[in-house]
Amino acid sequence: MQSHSDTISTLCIVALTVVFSLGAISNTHAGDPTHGWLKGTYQRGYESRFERSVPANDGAVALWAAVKWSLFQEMSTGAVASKDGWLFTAEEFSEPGETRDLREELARVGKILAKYGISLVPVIVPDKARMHEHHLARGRSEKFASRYDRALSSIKAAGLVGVDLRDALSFPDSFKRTDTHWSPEGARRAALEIAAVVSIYDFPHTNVTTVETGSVLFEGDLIAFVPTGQFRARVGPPREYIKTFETSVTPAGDLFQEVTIPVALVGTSFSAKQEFHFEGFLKQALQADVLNASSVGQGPFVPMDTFLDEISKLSSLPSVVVWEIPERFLSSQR
Amino acid sequence: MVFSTPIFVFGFLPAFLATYYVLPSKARNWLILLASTLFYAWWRADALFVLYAIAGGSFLSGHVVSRTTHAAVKIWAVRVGVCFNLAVLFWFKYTTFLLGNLNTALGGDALVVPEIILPIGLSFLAFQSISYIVDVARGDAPVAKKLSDFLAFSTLFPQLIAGPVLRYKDLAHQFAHRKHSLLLFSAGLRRFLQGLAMKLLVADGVAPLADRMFALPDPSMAEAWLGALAFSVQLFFDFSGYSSMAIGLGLMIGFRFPENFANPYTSSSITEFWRRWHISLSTWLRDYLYIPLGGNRSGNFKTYRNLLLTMVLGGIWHGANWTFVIWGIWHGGLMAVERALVAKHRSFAWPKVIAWPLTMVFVLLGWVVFRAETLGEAVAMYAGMLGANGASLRLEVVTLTTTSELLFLLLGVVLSIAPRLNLPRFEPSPALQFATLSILCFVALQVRTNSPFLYFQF
Repeated sequence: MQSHSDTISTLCIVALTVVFSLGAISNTHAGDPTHGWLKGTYQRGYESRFERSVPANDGAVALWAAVKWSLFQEMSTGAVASKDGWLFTAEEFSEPGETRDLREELARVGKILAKYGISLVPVIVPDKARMHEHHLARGRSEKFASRYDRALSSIKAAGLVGVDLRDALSFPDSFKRTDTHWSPEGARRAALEIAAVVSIYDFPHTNVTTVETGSVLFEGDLIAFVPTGQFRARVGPPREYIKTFETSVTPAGDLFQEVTIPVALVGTSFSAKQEFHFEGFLKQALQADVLNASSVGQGPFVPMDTFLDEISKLSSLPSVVVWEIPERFLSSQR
Repeated sequence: MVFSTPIFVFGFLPAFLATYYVLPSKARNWLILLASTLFYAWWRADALFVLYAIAGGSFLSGHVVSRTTHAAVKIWAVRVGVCFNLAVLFWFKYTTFLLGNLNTALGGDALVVPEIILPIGLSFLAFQSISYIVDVARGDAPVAKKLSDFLAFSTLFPQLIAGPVLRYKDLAHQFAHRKHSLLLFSAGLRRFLQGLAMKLLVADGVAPLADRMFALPDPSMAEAWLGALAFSVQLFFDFSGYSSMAIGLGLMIGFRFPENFANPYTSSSITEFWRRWHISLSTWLRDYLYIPLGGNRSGNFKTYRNLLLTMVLGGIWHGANWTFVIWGIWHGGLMAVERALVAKHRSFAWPKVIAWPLTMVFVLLGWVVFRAETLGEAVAMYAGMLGANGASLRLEVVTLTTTSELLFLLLGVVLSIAPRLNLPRFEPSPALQFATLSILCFVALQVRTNSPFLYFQF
């Protein structure tokens, strides 16, 4: 026998579903159904537009994230929260999905660059979890703990001059609290450390000045893993700010003299993202112009492949290539 | 289309149900056919050709079988129909595997391995079609009178992608006459929501944990067992959740599908496990493979052989990978051992005190090779389980393991073995269950946007 409460709850769910359904269907752009339906690409496109159109979609996502964050300080798969509101990428606690043998890569890249008379300076950027281990609830196992030293050994074994950034980044705010990357101050100190090593090479200098221009609200890349949305003001994570900088390079020599950029920077988002201003700090520290061939989201190896592919197209060759390699892209197994 | 997606819950399903209940009874089977076509084409429309070729071919075969008075024609119609289904299944599912292995055996790449996309749900469809042809020939099932009804049965969207493996004889009369009522609809909706919660909350809740443990190259003993346990919970709640949703959807439109799970993790032997796990598949294997092979009618040795063969073929049915062959051997071998033990001297295969935990260990060990992508990965997990890489969880694993993963794992374990725990019964009112599940499912539905069912790959 159907009870009244059963009937009412069924009708309520049906009514709510109809409301959401009508809202989603009416807000979803149909697109062009004549293209891609055979292989399913039209369907995938429509489906992703539909998902975003479901009423209260953002609210539901935010609610789920807020509950998990409030109860367990928990983020979505891909990031972990630790003490004092410090967030870390999960990549620093697991083996990289795709990696290459560092020793072989250094030998390969160094050999190609040497053919062009270019010196290679590899720079391993230590993990945030290494430099801010005191913010972790637990440390990391020996394999991860010794990864940086192993990487430096690989550089030495390849006959290259490396840079150990651990001392330079050993200060409280060397990384952003809600981001995978270093802070501008961390980037500045790293640039000074790198410049000290690169200065052994001979290249033309120029006047470079860097000024601090202020401070803006900063949304770290790890905030995407805890999308508390409208609940953020109440439950967190707390917001943070970032200082902004501008660097200007005064061209050296005559107006019609061929422009030579003596140093190239190849790397990842540590170098490519403007908000950390690493490129500017490196120019400042070197007192030289820098060609930035870094890119976001491709790891350290693909940008170097691209740079090597296009090196012959450069109008003038750099004397030194600084290769920024985040530690988390290296295997902990070897 | 996946049941646990917004496009299904807020798009396809409401539109289908509204149209279904507006249409007169006679037009409803046509609507099911049309909706099922759209449901399947949502994955990719070109796969409809395979779907309709199998359904049409099987209908034709059944038609010839039922009409002919010549025994030879009947036999050949069955053979051609079954072989056609198996040939399509083989081509799409096993060609790449076979050619790849041949290349390995020949030590080169002399054979060109084509890229073949496996149409989703093909294995289920092929088995359903074979059972139809065989049942018609045996006189166990009525021949489908209308092609449209048979196509609607073959493509019936609630069970099209991952079962339960239905038989035409169980549903034929339901295509002709179905009862509809608010009571049935409510029961169906509740069952659908239960299944949705099993999938979105428990299965998807522990899935990241299982994935991380299986991705470890050198898991420790604790990590390997944790991974095996997490996958056991994930698989059960994923597949059982899907089956619940299918049964619930069926009820909403007046169909009664058979149950596919009956507390499998309370089994005290592997033989019992297969009476409780994926029941529609195990009964299919029994009726169309084990018994035709001779069953247990020709002495002990042949019985053991038939058990092993049936489970190996059941394993291969899951996928073209040596891991499934090993999984089939494991289960078939254990069933043969249990049969031998029972035949010898007792009513229970294993001593009663250890029967349940021992069976669960067997099942967990089996799931490892079932989940592993390669035999190498499975061996690494087994080595970990035996303690080859140390005993404890490493620090990174502890850091990455979240509280909610552990809570969902615990919830999954408790719910899976609840009948054995004699827990006090807690049954909140259906209305409260309804409301809670609806809210949780609605929120989880928005968050877990990309979580296909594990059995879709088969």
